[in-house]
Amino acid sequence: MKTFFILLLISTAHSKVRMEPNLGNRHFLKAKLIKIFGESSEKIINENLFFSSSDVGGPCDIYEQVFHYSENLLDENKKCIGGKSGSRYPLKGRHSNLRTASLIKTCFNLVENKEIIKNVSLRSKSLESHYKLFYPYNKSPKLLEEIKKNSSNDTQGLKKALFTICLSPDWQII
Amino acid sequence: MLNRRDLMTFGGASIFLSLLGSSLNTLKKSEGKNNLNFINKNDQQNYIQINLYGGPSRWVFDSLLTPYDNDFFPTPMVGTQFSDDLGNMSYKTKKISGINFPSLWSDKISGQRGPIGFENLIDNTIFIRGVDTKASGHPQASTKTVRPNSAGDSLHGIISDNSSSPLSSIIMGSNPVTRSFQSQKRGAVQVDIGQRKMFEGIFRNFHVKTDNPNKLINEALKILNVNKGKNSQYVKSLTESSELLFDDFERFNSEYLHLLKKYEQLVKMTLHDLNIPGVNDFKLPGLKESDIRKNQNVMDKFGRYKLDYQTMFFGNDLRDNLKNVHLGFIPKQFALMEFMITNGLSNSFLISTPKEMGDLLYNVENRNNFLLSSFDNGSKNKTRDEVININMDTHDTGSIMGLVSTSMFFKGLSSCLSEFISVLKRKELFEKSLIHITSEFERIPEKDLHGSAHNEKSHTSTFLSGKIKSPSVHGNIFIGDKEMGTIGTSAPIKEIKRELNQDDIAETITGLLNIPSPVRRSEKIIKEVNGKWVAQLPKAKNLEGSSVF
Repeated sequence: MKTFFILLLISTAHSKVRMEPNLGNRHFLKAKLIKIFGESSEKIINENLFFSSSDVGGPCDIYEQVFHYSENLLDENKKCIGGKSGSRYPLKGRHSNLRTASLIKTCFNLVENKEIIKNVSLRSKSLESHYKLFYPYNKSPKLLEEIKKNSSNDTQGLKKALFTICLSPDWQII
Repeated sequence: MLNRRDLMTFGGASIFLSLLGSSLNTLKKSEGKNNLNFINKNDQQNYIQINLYGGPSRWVFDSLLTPYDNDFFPTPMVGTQFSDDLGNMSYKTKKISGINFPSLWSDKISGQRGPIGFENLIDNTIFIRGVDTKASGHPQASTKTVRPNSAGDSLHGIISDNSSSPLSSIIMGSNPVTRSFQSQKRGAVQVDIGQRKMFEGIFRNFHVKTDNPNKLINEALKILNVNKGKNSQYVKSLTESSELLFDDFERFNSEYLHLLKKYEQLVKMTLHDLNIPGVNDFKLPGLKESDIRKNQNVMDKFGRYKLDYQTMFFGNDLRDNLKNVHLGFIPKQFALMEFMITNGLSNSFLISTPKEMGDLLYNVENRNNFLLSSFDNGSKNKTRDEVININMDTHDTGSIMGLVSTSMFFKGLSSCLSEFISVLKRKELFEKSLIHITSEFERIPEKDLHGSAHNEKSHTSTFLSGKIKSPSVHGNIFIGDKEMGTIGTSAPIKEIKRELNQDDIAETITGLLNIPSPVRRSEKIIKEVNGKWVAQLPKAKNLEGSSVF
């Protein structure tokens, strides 16, 4: 009888568990994008993504709000978006139109920046190597095939490929 | 070792249990699907909560103490008009649509085309009073107004998750209420209303300054659509976001600035061009310098003249100190909200105070006042602050400034609300909207009139909507006695055998908006009946009993 109830509990318990991917927050996204697009991309990332909305996730630390006799923060990167509320932003990101809008703008401005694209293409001409920076463990291999089918080998093709990979969802999952 | 009988029993049990499990799953899904009515694009309900964090007294506004000629016991600090220039006051009302409203409601507010009455705020309103917060302190009590179940999602979170609006909940302000947002899927747009370029701060996410990215986005979407798999919700979000992108920021910014100017004008005209009869239409003298003596009972004698924790009001006329007052961020919040709602950008809004405790009046002139410490030894210690704000948490706001500041604040707020409702009506959105005015709790006057304490057994929630066709007041309060008169302390309702509580408010809101409720075993105070929102409780009563606890 005891076994019966344990099995009954087990069979119904799993229906209460919901799984959803953990989306990287703004700190994760920034670090990854800087690694891929270079240090010169930090300004674009800050303007369009890092100081974006709560949906991107990544709370600030209110103890880092140090001003040192100035109106400006000692370290602008520690700024709390939306005031103190920024310290309660979720640890992980959430899918939302604000997040995707920020990402669209960030990726677009990154690939449209001549300097950044030049540095990226100097690093490697191979689409696979750029893809591997986003997906080091080769997640979403079909995406790479689709991109290859639809991209050319020139700079425009590289921009289109990078933009698409940048917008893809799986590299954002931690 | 299992024998054949045991094996058959075990196998049978396993099959039975797995069938039971999957049936329960199906039942749960179908039960979930049947109970969840998602707000769709064509028929989304708007929810606007105006949360006055700090808990100002609302006796002059929507905390109606004797709506149906109920028994009433007067209290020196609970008044709607001054009876003389010494700060004595009385609770005067005016009967409108069969309900005794505080006298402020018979006054005029500013409209777009000149002074108007309060009709927009009366005809479609249900007032709920006498709600027991069952909480202690500002953070706990205020959180219940947005997140009644601390383990569950907040009201705005539930709305966001069930909404297909391009933007999820717009949360304006910074205090425990705004920080209580919790949802499963969608975040909130947290707006720093103190930010100088607030509008730009929100819409920069959608503003593309240079070349149009749509061609590149469409090509990327084509590839991602093929690849989407389980991420189709993500690709849908990408598509929606790309549709929201714009390059002509100035056009939207101009629209917002035009709205901001409108609300600022309304507040300015209401506060400074239209006096409030019985409140600021005559001289309000303060203390004289000769009153400053070493005085052991300074609060007993002069409590009513207190302005804040350290300042006493001196001078010929309090009105001289109020010539440049304003309502802070209220116009900004209304302007942004009107922009968002009329452009269909969001259907869930929380307007609250910008920096923790809210202020009723900003920029009160303070130069000629003296510090409370002057009465310690009879020395004349002048105030150092040139201007002060009158806090919503009126522990140290004497009865004179209390009546003046709350009257001016709610009159200014009413002018913004009235205009906002007019806009909603013009856009045929008022029937699809629920406006909710709330704060954490009401107040208990101090005996010496130097301020008021928290009354956690009294909360007021006011609901306005086009679906409410006539005004009514519900919720019982105690009459009180000579120790403390009628102030709004909750009393039980016979029909539900208890006082109302915050869960009932949440259950009501979620029921009206057709979204899942975060609470259980609660009353729906208002329900939809034949397309109209009708109160389910009897009219408000005042019962015998003490107002203090």
